Amino acid sequence: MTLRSRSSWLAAGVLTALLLSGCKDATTTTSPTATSPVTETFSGQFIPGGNASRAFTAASAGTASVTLTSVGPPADAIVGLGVGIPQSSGSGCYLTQTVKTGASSTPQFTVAVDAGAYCVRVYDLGTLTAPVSFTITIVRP
Amino acid sequence: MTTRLLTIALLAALTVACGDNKASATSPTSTTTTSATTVIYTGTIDVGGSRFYSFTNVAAGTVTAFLASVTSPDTKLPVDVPLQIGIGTPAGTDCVTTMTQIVSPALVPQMSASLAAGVFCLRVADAGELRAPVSFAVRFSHP
Repeated sequence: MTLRSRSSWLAAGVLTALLLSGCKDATTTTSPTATSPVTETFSGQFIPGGNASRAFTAASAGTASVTLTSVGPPADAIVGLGVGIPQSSGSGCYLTQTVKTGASSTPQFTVAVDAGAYCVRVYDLGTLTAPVSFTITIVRP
Repeated sequence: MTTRLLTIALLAALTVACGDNKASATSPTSTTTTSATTVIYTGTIDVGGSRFYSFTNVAAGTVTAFLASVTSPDTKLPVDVPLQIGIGTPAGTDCVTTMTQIVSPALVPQMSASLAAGVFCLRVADAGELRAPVSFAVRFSHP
């Protein structure tokens, strides 16, 4: 085999390797970016006798969870927490279920939902004597 | 010369192979759908009472309903009492239901029906367990 012939074979080998790697890339599939579930955080404050609501949208049917992760002061404050569907006026909820609760790392609600708009509401049970701050974590489809 | 021919043949084969991969992609199939209309019906029901709401299906399709909320009109907080929901056709001052169901509040469809295009109604009624008036909210979707 001449030097020129060896060079040709070498070039062919390099090209083949490059093209094979190119083909491999072409057939690689990219996993779709995960879009569900989505975590939303709702923080705010309400006064004695007051409440706060927030709507969220489930992009598809599935399970939604709601966790009151912090509320107070005081740190052991107990408030009402509810889940339902938003009122047409855009403020407030038509409540499906409620619970009296303090802050927790465990969801107070884990509910099956259809695609559509929902809401959470946190409210005074009549026991607060000063404004409280709160944080609610919503995980929805 | 043989080497060059071999190289050209190899390149051609690989190009075709890659081209085949690209050409195998198919265009998404387009689908035509009739968008649904979603409404929230709200009201108050007295003991033994009922309410109904007429709706128009612009096309044949499936309607779905769920009783999202039953609350005290005074406290606005949920009360643990089921209601009857039904679907039918308006007749005078009432809704003659062809299907009914007694349900407690939930956030997923509790009733669905395939209906033709036309005018129908959704009825919400005391299922016999009310001891005081209640407020309700029903989420309803129709073609």
